Amino acid sequence: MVKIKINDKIVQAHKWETVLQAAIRAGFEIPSLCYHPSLKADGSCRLCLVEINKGGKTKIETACTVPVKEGMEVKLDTAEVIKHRKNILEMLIAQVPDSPVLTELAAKDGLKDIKLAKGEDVCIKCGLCVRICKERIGADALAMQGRGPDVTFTPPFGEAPESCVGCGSCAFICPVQCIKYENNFADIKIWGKNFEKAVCSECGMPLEHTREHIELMKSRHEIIKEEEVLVCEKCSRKKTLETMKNIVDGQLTFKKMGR
Amino acid sequence: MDKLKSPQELDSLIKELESKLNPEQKKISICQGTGCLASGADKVGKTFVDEIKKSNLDVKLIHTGCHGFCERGPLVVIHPEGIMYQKVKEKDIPEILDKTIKDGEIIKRLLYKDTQGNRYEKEQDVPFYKDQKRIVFALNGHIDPTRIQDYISNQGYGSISKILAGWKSEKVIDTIIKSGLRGRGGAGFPAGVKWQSCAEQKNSKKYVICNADEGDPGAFMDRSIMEGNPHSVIEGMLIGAFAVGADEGYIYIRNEYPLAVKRLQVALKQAHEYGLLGQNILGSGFNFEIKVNRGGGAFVCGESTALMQSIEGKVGRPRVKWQHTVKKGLWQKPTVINNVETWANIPAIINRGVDWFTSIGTGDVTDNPWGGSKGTKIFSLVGKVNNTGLVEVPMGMTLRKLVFDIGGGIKNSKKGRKFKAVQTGGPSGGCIPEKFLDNPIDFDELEKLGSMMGSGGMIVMDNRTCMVQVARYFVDFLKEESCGKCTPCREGLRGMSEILNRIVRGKGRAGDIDLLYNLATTMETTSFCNLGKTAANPVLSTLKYFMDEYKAHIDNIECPARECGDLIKFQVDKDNCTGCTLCAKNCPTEAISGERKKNHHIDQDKCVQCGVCDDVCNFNAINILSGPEINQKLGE
Repeated sequence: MVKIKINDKIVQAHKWETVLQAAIRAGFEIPSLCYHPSLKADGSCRLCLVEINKGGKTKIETACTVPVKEGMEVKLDTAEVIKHRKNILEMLIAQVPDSPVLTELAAKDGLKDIKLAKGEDVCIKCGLCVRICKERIGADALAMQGRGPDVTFTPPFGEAPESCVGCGSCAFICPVQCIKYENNFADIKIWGKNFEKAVCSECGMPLEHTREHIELMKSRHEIIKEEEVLVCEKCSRKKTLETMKNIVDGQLTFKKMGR
Repeated sequence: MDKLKSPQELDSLIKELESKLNPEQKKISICQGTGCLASGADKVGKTFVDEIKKSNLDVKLIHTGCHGFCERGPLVVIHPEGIMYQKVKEKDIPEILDKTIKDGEIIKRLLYKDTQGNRYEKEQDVPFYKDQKRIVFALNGHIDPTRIQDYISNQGYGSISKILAGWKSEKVIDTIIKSGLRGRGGAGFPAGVKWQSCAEQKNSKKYVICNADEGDPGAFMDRSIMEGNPHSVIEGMLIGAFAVGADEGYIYIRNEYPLAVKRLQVALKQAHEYGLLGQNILGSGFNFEIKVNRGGGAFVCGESTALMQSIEGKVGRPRVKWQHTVKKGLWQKPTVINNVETWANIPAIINRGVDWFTSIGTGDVTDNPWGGSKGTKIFSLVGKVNNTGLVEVPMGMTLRKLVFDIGGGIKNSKKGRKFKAVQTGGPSGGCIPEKFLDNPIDFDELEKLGSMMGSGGMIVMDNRTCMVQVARYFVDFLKEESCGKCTPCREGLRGMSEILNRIVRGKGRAGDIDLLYNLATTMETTSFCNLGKTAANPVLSTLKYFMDEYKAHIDNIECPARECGDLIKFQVDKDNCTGCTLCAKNCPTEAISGERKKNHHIDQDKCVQCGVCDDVCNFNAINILSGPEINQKLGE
């Protein structure tokens, strides 16, 4: 563990943590749009600005990309930090004017007047969708395409993505909810593709996962067994109950269950 | 060729090839760099081969790399006298052979002529070359880049031989640190210090990379080094790899440089054949391989981490640098990355020593590698100067000497064109105005002036260059080339581009300058990589030195440089016009009418503000109006 100072509070942090992670654990609030605890830091939105004192010299850095260091002094919400954060928020809001998340962040920093020319985008280009699809789901169905202001986050060639498994993680993680996603009774619609949900092997009810998603999970994690996954919640509970009953009735012992 | 098995074998080969050189031998060196090829050097070169065969003359023909004076290509230099012919055409060749080679007679019309009408016989007397100091370019006009023997006969690979004959890596690093060599790619980080940090890493696998992703508009020095003397880069990398303990190297070069790629591949193959690359080099146990990795021409891939992403097969975008690349670089292994020109300097430093190198340049680097700028720097001198091309000059030369002596002054000075500013450092650099012309050029001085050395672009601007347009051009370039990852760079450049584009169209608003400043400071402070951090420099430096031009655009709808098409009108000066009809003949939209020997008239509805009339007029009879004077003078 290392000790760092955030504002006036001494915070204990793990050696492998970033300033952002340590600050969040210590209860501080730092606005951020591209950070997610289960993904690698990307540092693209640049909102989590903090002032770091390095041997008497202060520097503005993004908290998500700076590893903690013993004796580090971090200040949140200094005038300089707020000024730049407001500017970055203004840049984002100018392009994505109708996002409640951005409006809320802007209100917190007192940003009212948008002087930059307005666009009509819905995506803030944080890249979380691409990263979760690659790093966690393993489908790697999305990519950042184009350059500069024309950058977009889409499946390759803008077509329905071959390797998408319809898990919906991208839509779930998107901070401005701009990915169209339909979760119906028996199917999921996303990226112009229709996925049938897998069905319960006991009762035939549609499950939460698509068939493709289960196949992908199985190929990535040996521990996942099809007979355990392909059961709905209800049937799974019923099975557990039956097992418990059998134990209570003395018909089945732990030994017999093979555990 | 059998592989060379020891430094001694290489040394004796150098001596043998050197002894075969005859200083009295007649040689014709013809430039085959991209610039000269574009103006027809390919045909000139081939015709020389045919004609020499026909004539049975005892003359050696060398197809060399770039000589630097690209504007005057195709260039031909005749040795040993050093007679330089410029703009040589195929039809001139029999005459050159007949007169100059056979009889030593000079063909006057092919000699370089300066603006005063003086002609120069010898290359070394031409003002463009006279004040240059060529270290990296020393062999460019003399050797055939496709022949390793040519390089070896000029002490080539002598430095690596010297090192492998018994130097320790510490000694190599110490030499480079003491030489004060700073990275020529832009940031000016001392190369030796970088090597040392990499050498200190304990990993068994390390890499060296040559950054040849030259992307600044108008800059082509790295291309010319690789085209003209690829072996110097390879030798530099060999030395670097030996010093830090790397066994694998990459040259990351943009695919838009096909000739450089080809020359490098030929050079690598030859170096292999001679046993200068591969396993157990010169019997020393040192192994080193170089691969050429072609890039797709994204400007951002010149940034070290984006470049490494690209080599790794990923999208070329900067990544989070938890640690410096000397600790965790390519494939998370310690990596030294240097620019082409930096690598090409290394063999000369090892060969000729620290004292020689530190005698060139500024400052004192004895105890502090940051203490000065040593050696030479290649600039690509372009824009509104008479002599454009590549120049290699000692650090510390004044801008005035570079622009007015080597560059030959401002183009069209007879028409009243004057020096206004020089833009250095490429898109991330800045504009330096006239009052700093006598400042020396080195890393620290340029930074003090709000610009930077960058990779060596130097664009000269005259009084007819609008500084708002300059800023707009670079911002638009960077907007296209920004990778789009981080908000301040992506959106900041979009915002700046919008503002600058409306200012040059005469639609600027009262708060626009504050808005530009505001965007610039946030981009500088908060961008992810140096592309974004320095992207505001063209705007900041033009605002700093040419604020009045911005204000004139916004407040008076006037372009003081008379460049912005939407803000200017052309009018014939009735007192000066002689009715020569030249403007009317050249006007692309037939907007000019008038009888011979009578005043001409411009139809404002047809005029597209291209400025051709002003360019061709010999009587200063075209007035360019802007701002309130448009209404005053055209209000008829």
